[in-house]
Amino acid sequence: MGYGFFHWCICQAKNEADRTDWPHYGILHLENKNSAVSLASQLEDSNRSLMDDIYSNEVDSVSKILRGISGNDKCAECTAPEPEWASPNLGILPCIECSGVHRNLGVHISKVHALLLYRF
Amino acid sequence: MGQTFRKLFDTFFGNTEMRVVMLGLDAAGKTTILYKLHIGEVLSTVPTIGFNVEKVQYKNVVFTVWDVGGQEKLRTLWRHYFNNTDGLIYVVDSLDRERLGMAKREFQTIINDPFMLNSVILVFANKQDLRGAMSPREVCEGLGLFDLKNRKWHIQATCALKGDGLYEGLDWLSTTLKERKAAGYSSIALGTSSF
Repeated sequence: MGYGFFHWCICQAKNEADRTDWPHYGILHLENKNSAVSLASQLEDSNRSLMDDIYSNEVDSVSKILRGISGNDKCAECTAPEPEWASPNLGILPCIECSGVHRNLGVHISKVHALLLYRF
Repeated sequence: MGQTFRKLFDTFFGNTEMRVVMLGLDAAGKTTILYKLHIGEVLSTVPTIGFNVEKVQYKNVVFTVWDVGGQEKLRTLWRHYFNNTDGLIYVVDSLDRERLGMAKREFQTIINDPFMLNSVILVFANKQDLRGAMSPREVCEGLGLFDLKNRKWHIQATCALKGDGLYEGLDWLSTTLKERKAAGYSSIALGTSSF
């Protein structure tokens, strides 16, 4: 794997409003696959069954976990429903249109992957 | 006699058709290059799921260019485009140093495929306009181009947004493919570059 999907994002909010907004954009705090497990354990009990899926269908689980985070049901840029792309270094899920724009910014700004077409 | 003359005339003046497959990791700029060549404009593209195919005429060569999506799980489908391919255009994002190793692995898989052993290789070191981009020489070394034996290859620095280098690449492709057709596909071990 060229670079891991999961790594710590160092996120600094410029102000209090930004800081409180961020959870809605689904910031990912995942260091590696084990962190995905620990993240899953933090989710509510209703989501606990997701952990069982991690080993059986890893890719599916990862996208499920990411989608399960509050705010990730919408594109972080245009609020289109059910985004299927991810920018791990920014910690957001954009839709396909916005992921096209992100790619134009260059990999030094946003590395975009398809949730379902990327090998985790 | 007339037919022979016609054939000879077509060889020098007629339109030649060439099938080219354009591959590379996701976000390398393949689709942008394809449409820059096809309509001369930069379109706002979205990631390709599947493929795009367009005919591009340059001088008296009509290139049928297949641009295939480069997402990780789509790469296993690339081999289905290899049959009857005259040339490979491999596009590399020169800014993406982290994934150069991955680009090399995919590149080596393509060129070692039995269907691709006869195809000429054109590498586009794309996104040269961005600061910190790797030089074509670095891309060359990263892909292992210097180690290729009995392959005809060329690396070209490009900037798809401005269109820099794209036609120079096609120029090389058409010249090389014509030479090969004239020589009856005998491969010559040579690598060229425009550093």
